[in-house]
This record gives sequence, C-alpha cells and structure tokens, in this order.
Amino acid sequence: MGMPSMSSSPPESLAPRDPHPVPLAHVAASAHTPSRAAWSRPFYVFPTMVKVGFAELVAYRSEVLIWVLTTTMPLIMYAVWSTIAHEAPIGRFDGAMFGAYFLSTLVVRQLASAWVVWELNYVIRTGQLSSLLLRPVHPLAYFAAMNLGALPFRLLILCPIVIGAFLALPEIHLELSWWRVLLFFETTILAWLLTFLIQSIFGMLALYTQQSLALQDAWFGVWSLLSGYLIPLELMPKVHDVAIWLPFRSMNALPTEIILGLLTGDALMQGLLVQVGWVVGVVIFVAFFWRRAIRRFEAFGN
Amino acid sequence: MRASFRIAAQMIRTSIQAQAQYRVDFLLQLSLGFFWTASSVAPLWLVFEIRSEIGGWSRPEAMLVMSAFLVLKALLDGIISPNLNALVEQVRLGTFDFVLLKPADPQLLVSASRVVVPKLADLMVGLGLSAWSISQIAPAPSALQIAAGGIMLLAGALGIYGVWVLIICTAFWFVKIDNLSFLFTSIFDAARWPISVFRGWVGLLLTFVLPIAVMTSFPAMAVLGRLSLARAAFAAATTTFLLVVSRRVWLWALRHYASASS
Repeated sequence: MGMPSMSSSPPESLAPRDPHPVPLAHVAASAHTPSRAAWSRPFYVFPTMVKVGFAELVAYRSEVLIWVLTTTMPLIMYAVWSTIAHEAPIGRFDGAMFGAYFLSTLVVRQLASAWVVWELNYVIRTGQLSSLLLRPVHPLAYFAAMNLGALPFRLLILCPIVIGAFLALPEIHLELSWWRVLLFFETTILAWLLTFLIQSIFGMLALYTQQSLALQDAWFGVWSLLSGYLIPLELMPKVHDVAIWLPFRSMNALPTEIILGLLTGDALMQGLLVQVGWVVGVVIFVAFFWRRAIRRFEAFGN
Repeated sequence: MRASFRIAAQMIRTSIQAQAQYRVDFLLQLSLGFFWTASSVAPLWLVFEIRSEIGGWSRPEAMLVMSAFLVLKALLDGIISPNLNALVEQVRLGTFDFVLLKPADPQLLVSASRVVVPKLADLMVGLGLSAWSISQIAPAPSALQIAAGGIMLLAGALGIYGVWVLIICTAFWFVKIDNLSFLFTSIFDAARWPISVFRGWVGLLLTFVLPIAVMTSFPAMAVLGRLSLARAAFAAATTTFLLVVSRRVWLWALRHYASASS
C-alpha cells in the first residue's frame, strides 16, 4: 500500500526552535509528550484519517478483493472437518456446526485483520517513518485509521460470502440473542485491537532486527494452531486448557465461540476477562516499547 | 544444453555465496523455517488424534501427502518464486533489458539466477518426513512404487514451475502482480491434505481445473500403489501441457515487453 506523499509542513509547535539539527527521534519523543492539545488531537483528526484510508482502499480495490480471497484456510479446514464429521460427529461438532464455525472464523479473521507489521517494516526500512513522526498524531494512530478505513469494503465483500454460505449450507442454524450479537461485535473489536497492537510490536522489532517479518511468520504459525483458526480448541482438550489463557484465542476464536453459543456461564466470563486483560497488558507494553524502540530510529528525512 | 546447465550452476553458486555472508541472518531464518514447518504439520497430526482414518487415509499415508507438499513448497519458496518475482521487479524497472542482452535463453536466466538457501533446509525436512512416512506404512512399498512416487513428485514440481511462469507472464501487461502469486499460494495450501478429503465438486476442481491434487496426492498414491495408470497418464499430460503452454506464453509475452528504453 503506497504512502501518500507528504505535502504539508509540520505545524509550528513541532518545528524545532533550536537552529541546530535535532535528531528526529527526539523531536518525536517530545511531540508525543501528553500536552493537552496533543492528547485530544487524535480524536478530531481520526475520522478524517479513516476517510483517507477508505479512499486509498477504493483506489486499490481489486488488490484488496484478492487479499480477501486469499483467506482460503477456513474453507480448506471446513472441507477437512466436514469430511471427518460426515463419518460421525465429534462431540457437539457436526457438519453444520463446523460450517457455522469456519464461516464465523472467516468473518472474524477478515474484520480483525491488520497489516501494520508490513507497513511499519516498510516505513522503517525506507526512512518514511521520519515524516510520519513529524505529524501531530501518533504513527500507530495513523496506521490504525488506515486499517479501519478498510472495514466498510471488507464488510461489502463478506456479505455475498456469508449469504452464499447460508444458501449452500441450509442446515446451519444459529440461535441468536441480542446480547450474543453485541458480545460478538465487542469481542471482535477487541480482537482487532489485540491483533493490531501485537503486529505493531513485531513491526517495531524491525528497529532491532532484519528478520521481524520472519518472526511475525513464526508467530502466525503458533497463532493459527492456538487461536482456533484451524482446529476448534474444544476438540483438543489438552491444548484447550492452556490455550484459553493465552492471547491467541482472544484474537480469533472467542467471538465465534460466543455467536455459536458454545460459551456460557463461567467459561464465557473467563473468555471475556482474559481478552480484556490481554488488551490492557499489550496496550501498556506497546506504549512503553514504542518510546524505547523509536530512539533507535536513525533516518533523517527521506 | 550443457552450456545452459553450466550457466545455471554458476549463477546458483554465486547466489549461495552471497547469502553465506550473512551468517546470523541465515541461522535465524533456518530456525524460523523449522518453526513454520512444524506448524504446518501439527494440524494434520492433531486431526489424526481424533480419528485414525480420514477419507481413507491413515496418518502415515496423509503425512506422505504433507511431505510432498513441504518439498514442493520449499522448491516454490526457495527457487521458483524468488527467481520469477525478481523478474517482475526487472520488468517494472526496465532492467529486464540487460537480461535480454545476454547471450543465453532469457527464461533460463530468470528461472535459475538465485536460490534461497534456508528454504532448502525445509526441502530436507520434507524429504525426511517422506522417509519416515514410508517407513511407517504397513505393507512396505516396493522400490518401484517409491521410484514412481519420486517421478510423480518431479512432475508436480515441473507443473508448479509451469503455473508460476504463466502467472509471471501476466507481469508483461499488468506489472504489479504479487497479489496473483499470493492467491495461487493460498489455493496451493489445500494441497497439504489428501485429495479425497475434499468431497464433491471441490475435489474435482482441485484435480482437473486447478490440478494441485496431481502435485501432492498423486505422488503419495503412487508410493502406496493406489495410482491407476489412467491417473498417472493424466498427471503426465497435465505437466507436459503446463510446460509447453507456459513456454509458448512466455515467448509470446516476451514480444510484448515494452522495455524502459523503447
């Protein structure tokens, strides 16, 4: 995804008063000290940035369409599991349940997806991060806005997939209640936030190592096993007991388990609390790590 | 022909030497590669904890399919795609002119100019898994069956190369095509499962239209002695077809290359 060119000059307050060149990292650090104006700024700038993100997406619409189509894993896993369930159901999972599970998994994966690790990698490698640092909003807020701008388009692509799945698998039956739908969206939003923040950590690792993308790939491997993306956690009892305390499930399977009615009572409470806990923990870690990591950034201009 | 082999061997040697300079990088990539391999094998392993047989395949038999997938994936990531993706960049920048100026077949030059060394470790892992699976299969496959499997796997590798050349040829018109290669890779992900797992039209689609089953399931079936002659002939025909057509399309696409200087 191309970066828009930097046309406007930074606002007065950010320009270094000292005529001597100041390393950008220091400018950035001072730019993000929480003065009152800097604090409230993201809130009125954010909607505009989301709009910019949406416009960029419309410009690259066919690319995004193909990106969505590359999410074939849930479909492959559905084929595998439905063949297994065809012989005999596993626990409470029969063919229809697998259909609903992987459909929901696909939807959550699309809605809670981020690509900030590649963007951060790119701007760090090319030095474009320095111009992002000069802006009066935090670079991560900028990337988050770009990410959210993609949502309407992704929803649009998901609609025919979901409708098609319900037509192809009429035996899918969901008992929906308003609080389940509400919790589905709430947990999906937090799943996105967690995905986005953890990816930013891997992106920031680009300031330390050339292999941050390879690390992200390895993380993705673990994620795909422990998040319920390939195998419902319930079907692996030993893994399940550990996995429900790790962050992976909060990033994918949790909303699915809620909307399918697989979680009730204490298990539901546990899932929600673990997700909130990880989000809070990761937010604190990112805030700390960003300040530390950004000092290593050495590009001057671009 | 011999000159072509010498050129390819020399280019690959240079590429390996260049990468050997970055040792820490190399070791890190190597270990992360093992990680990736483990995470692709794990789901298959876990599924067989629940059922001992899926679609008529036992665990070691399905592992044989997985090993064929790992071998082909390693070839794809280690040799085929880095080379051909580099071509896309050359077309974009116009530096493909320099390749055309060299006195050797351009398809050879763009197909064999680099190799990603750590991926070849994945290749070894794949072959190791093949050996393990074969040792676990109850009536031990005969040497002839194993040889047939090897030939089918080679055919699969050539088939993938053909598909990749076809994808890359579109770069001469559309330039930016990384998405297309991602799409193929994600469809190819289905090839890690035995073809009979895909029931109904999906199975037919993956055998006859997007013949990825031919590339990984057929070699395993050959080793198990389950591959009918008709299917073997179909695989051979598919591979030949892909190679011939991709060569044709390549030559045709070459004529549409608008170089940077023209």
